[in-house]
Amino acid sequence: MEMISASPTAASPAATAIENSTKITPVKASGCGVFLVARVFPLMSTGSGAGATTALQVVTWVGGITAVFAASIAVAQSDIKRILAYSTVSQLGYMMMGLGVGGVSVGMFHLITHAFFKALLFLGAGSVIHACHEEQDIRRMGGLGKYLPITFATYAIGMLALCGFPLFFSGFWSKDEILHSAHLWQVSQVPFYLGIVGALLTAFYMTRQVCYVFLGPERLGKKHDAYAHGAAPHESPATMAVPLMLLAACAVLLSLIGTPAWPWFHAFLTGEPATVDFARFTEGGIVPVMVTSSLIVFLGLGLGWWLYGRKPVEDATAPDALERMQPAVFRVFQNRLYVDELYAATVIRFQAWAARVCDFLDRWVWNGAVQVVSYMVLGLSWLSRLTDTGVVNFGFDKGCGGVTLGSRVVARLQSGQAQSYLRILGIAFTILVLLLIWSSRG
Amino acid sequence: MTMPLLSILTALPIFGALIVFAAGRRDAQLARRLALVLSLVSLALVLYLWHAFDPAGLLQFQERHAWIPSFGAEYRLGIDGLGLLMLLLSAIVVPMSIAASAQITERAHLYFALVLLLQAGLFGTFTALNFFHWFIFWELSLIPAFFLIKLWGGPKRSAAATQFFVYTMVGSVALLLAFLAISLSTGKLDFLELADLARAGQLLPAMAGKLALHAMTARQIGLLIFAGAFLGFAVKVPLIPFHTWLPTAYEEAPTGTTMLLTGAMSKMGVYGFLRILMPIFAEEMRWMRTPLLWLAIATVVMGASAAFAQRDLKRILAYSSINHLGYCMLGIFAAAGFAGNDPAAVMEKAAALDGVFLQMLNHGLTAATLFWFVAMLEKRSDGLRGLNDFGGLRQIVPVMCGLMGIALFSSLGLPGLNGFVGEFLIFKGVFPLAPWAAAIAVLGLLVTAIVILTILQRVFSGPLNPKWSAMADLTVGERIAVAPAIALMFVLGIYPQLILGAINGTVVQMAKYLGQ
Amino acid sequence: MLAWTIYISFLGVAVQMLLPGKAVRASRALALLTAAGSFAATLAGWARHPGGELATIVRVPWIPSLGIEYHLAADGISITLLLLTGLVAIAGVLFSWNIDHRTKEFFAFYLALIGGVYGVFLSFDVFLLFVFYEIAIIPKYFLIATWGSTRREYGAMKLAIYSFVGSAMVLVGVIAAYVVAGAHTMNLLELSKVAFPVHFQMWAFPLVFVGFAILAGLWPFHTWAPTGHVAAPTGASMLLAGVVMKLGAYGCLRVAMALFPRGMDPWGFRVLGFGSWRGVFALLALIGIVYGAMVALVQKDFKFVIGYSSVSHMGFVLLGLMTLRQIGMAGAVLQMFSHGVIAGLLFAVVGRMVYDRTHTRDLDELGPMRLGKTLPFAATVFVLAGMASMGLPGFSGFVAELQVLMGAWQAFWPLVPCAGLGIVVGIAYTWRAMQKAFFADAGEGRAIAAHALPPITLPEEAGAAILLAASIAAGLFPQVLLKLILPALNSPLFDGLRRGSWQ
Repeated sequence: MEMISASPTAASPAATAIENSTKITPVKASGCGVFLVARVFPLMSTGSGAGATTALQVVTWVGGITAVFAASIAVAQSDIKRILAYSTVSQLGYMMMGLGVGGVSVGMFHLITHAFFKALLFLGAGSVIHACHEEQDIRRMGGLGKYLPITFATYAIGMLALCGFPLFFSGFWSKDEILHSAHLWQVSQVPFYLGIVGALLTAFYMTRQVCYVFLGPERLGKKHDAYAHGAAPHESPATMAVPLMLLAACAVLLSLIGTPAWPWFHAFLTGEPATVDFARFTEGGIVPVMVTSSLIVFLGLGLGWWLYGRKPVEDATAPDALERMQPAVFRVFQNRLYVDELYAATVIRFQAWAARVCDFLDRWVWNGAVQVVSYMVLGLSWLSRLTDTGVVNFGFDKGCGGVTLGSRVVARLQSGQAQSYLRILGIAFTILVLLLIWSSRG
Repeated sequence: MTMPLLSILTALPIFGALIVFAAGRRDAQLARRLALVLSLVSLALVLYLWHAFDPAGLLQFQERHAWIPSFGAEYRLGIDGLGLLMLLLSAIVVPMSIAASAQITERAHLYFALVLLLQAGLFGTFTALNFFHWFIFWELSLIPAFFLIKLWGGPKRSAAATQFFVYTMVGSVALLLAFLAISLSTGKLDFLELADLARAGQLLPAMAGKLALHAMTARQIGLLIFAGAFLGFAVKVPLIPFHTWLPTAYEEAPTGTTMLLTGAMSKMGVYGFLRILMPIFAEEMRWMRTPLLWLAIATVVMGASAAFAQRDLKRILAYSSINHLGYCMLGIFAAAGFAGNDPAAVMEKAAALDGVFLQMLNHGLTAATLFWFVAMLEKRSDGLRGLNDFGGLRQIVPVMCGLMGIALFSSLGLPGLNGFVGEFLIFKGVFPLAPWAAAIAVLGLLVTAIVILTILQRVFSGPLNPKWSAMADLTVGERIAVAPAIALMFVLGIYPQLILGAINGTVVQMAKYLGQ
Repeated sequence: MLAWTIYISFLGVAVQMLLPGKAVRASRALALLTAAGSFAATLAGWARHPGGELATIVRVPWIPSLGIEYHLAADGISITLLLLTGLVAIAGVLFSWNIDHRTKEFFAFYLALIGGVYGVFLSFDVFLLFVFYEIAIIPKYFLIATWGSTRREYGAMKLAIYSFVGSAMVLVGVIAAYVVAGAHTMNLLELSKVAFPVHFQMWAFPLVFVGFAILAGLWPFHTWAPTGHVAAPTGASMLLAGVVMKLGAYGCLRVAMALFPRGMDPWGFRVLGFGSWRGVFALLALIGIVYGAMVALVQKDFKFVIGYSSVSHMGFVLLGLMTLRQIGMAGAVLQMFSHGVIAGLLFAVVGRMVYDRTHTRDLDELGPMRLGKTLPFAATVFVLAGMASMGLPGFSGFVAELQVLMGAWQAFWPLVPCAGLGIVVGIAYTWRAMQKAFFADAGEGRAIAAHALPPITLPEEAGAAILLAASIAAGLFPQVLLKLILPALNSPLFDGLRRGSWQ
């Protein structure tokens, strides 16, 4: 979710409308997650006939919570693309919920319809931004409806599809399938209510956005670049306008393949034949759900109009209507429920700490052990060498020295002096005689 | 007529080294080009082997001659899917390394001769099936690697090269002693015959009987011998905590050599586990399963975390390499750690082993390519390669950043690129076998993602560092050189069947054997 | 045929003395011819006895009243060591090509030493063996004292004294054996068959063994080796470390162990954990391996590193002998061959290639000379010789140490990891010396006045090639030598040894 919300605000180098349209990528990228779940659906749903395996329950709850969570954040955002980004996240939550409660085709249908109208909305946003010379803050826009008629019209279609305005818009049918399946879900009704609340919020914040951007006074200011060269904000060229219109057409026409009367999409996925049968409308509580969701949409639209359409803000710096009513709550939503900060304080800090610990271990403990071993070997080697020179060699040399000393002493006997020889002869002779006498006696 | 293709393959780079040394004495460019051509010839030969390989996966292209009968040494070669894969990896990484070494001008003839000798060492290691024969190549491949680091490396190259050499040798000595004991007990040094003995449960009794290790039970003896052999390979992979030689060695080596070290030489360790340790010491690996799994997890998680704390690009990638190979070890230890011959268990082990094989190939390719890009970056930045030295490069050198980005995403494990498949299969196999280990190891995936994205952010994105505003993008030559590697990343990511087809027979065979 | 090895050598001595003093070139050529001739005789003899079994060459009564004969015989072990002597002799002559001071006397002593060594290896009469053994000591002294370098008088004297002490011990033991045997013969085979009383063997064995082992560098009687080898001129060091130390080991095997096999039996009691002379000597051998390596690690003088490495490698020989297993003892003999060649190579590089040119052996001073660049041939040879010395596979040392360790695993397994430690330290000191001498980084070491280094000459290249080829051939095809050694170990001479737990 954070990645998606961050990408629209990344610096975009080139200021062309087409470049802005690449903001579709987060839509496509995030859709992959839903696609993945859809693909592994058989894995997730094995083991339980009623589709209420643990895996699918988790998917449903996560989806439902996401739908409301993100929608509430979108209510307080002031960057045109950021609102759409959190809206995307919210709708993804719906898709997940749809997969969880209703199966592959329910979730996938919303994925398909959402792809079209969200692309439309982003493209339209790009058109607006381009017209305002890269301004993205909705508080600084306003009254652009008369300058950008095609954009306004197609944006309105997209916005109504997103809100789920009844009958003519694909978003209505796809969202309704989800709500209907949630209503039938046996595990709990809470996801259904989450879906309702989410739908209310969606209608509300989209109305708020449209009022800020296209209606009301022009807060852009005459001094703004958009009015440079004396020109007013102008509509995008055909390269942009045509795709907008095409997408708007799709946003409407896709309804046709997903109504209960002719569930062509569902049949396409399951391989069964699809038949047209209006009687299906009377089955299983479809109509009450349709009515409820329509009422909710009208309520949301009405609330939005009441707060933002009747008395639009005059000045870019003026506080938002909601902000005036509940500043503290608004601020929490504006700060995206502090999720980023939570991550930074927990996961990121832990990660940095873990990295430092591992680096420390690496340098001092693992490497330290190796160094200790090598120093021990070196120490032993020095000891051995000392032994060699100091003990063994030394011992030998001293021994040799002793022998030499002894030799010298004995060599003194060979003095060359006849007197000492005679002396020795005499002593020896005496001893021999004594010995002879003594042995012959005994 | 069967030609001794594997012997020819191994001998070719040796002769090539002599040719390069002699002919390239005066001319560094000539030496490099000759070496490149010769390495491509080796690649062609390996591709021919690939083509002629029978995917049923049993041993092929065998050669066998008696050598020293008195203690069971033979000249025995042969490859199965594993060997073939490793040959392919070596044959791919070496030309990449040579192409990336364009800035070696001093004594280039010696440099490239050493690279080719190293290639011969790799080929020999991956094809030998008798310990004596295999050990020659295992040890001898260290010599060229040492000199490549020592003579052409960075400022701290002596210490790095020496530590690399001595540390690896310590492991090798332990391995040697273990195998001497085995040879003594069984009279054999042949890997396959020893594996058969081990499977039949006769190895331990033989060791207990023949070695004068009184007062030790057969199990203790087995573990002692296993410890020796394990150390030899654990140092080479490397497993934490036997890894401290690696970051410095990778950092100080000239980048072309680092490509070889990470691309091919590190796989020698994993190969050793698969070919030698797992078949012969399967029982001991089962006993030691938990400590081994913890070592693998530590390698995965701590490798990635330590990468995050580094500031030098090569060091980051070095620790990241440790992390990536940790996944291989996780797969191996999980597959080897559990008995069980039922088809489900065999399938899980086969999945894990398939993943290990693919991860070896893919990581070799990706890591080598990443270091190649670092080399190209260094060339343009006068040798600077700190994480914080750059910024906003995407605006100035978009092609290089784009291609390097692809390689980085592959390393991260983005589906669609080759790095994903191996890791996915490993986890797929390990989850059923040892769910706790797989769960903790997932942290490694997360941290790696953070590391890679940090690189992308600090180097490519952000405000442009004015120092580099004149940096030149990739030349045509460089683009052509790098293109095959990038293309291969996509191909292997989208169609891993290309590889799996050849190795699956071997993998299934291995998995079956593990159960017995 | 093999006896001609001795005769040719002494003939060469005689002719050398006849040459005029100034005929340096003739002197060298003659020496080379003589050494080559002896080697050729060895090869011829090998061709005639390829099976390695015991074969008598000459047997003539000498001193009949004492039963002493002039009896020359050879088995596989003898031939292996003769081959070693021939190779090292030729290489030694080549590496001494630059001796120009009293050349003819140098080569005369050299050839005399070789002749004596040949004699020892071929003698089959104990007395004759002793005579040749003593003959070999005299030239050693003069070679070192006259043509040596560092502390040569001290080194020569020390070497001579140690050798004489050793041979005195041997003499005492041998005479005692002669007397106790009462067989009126000094024939090795006959004496080995005599069943000496056990308590006699218990003191005769250590006496004779240590007597010979001193020359083999048994710890702690080893310090003559580094000092003497360092002091000796290159050709002499090669021969001394390469061959003469093997005389000691050969004597241990041929005389001490063959004659007094029961001397190695267990005593029946334990002293300090030892139960037999075999255990004592095995441990001393192991200490030699590890200690020698460790001391080599911290030497400042390049040649001392090699000198201590010889002590370390000979430890493997003695350890192999003490295993009393066929594989261990075969490994010991192979290690004798291998180390002889390798030591020759190492001393050749250090002494002839480096020292004779740089006039310094201090590792710190050699560093700044960047010998890796200025003497690339020497560097390459040293790297290869270092690899062989470390015991890397593909070279002879690996196969030899492998077999010794296998024998040790069977006989005294706790010593094996310690021996492994010795191997690792061996790697460390070899690598350290190589790095400091040839591949030092800029800024390392102490620069001294540099001068131009003359290029490597042809004789040096030839000598290095011969020795390297021998080591690699023995490393890759050890079967060639094992075919000689293994049958020899099975000969009747060692029957006494085999009665034990020989396998």
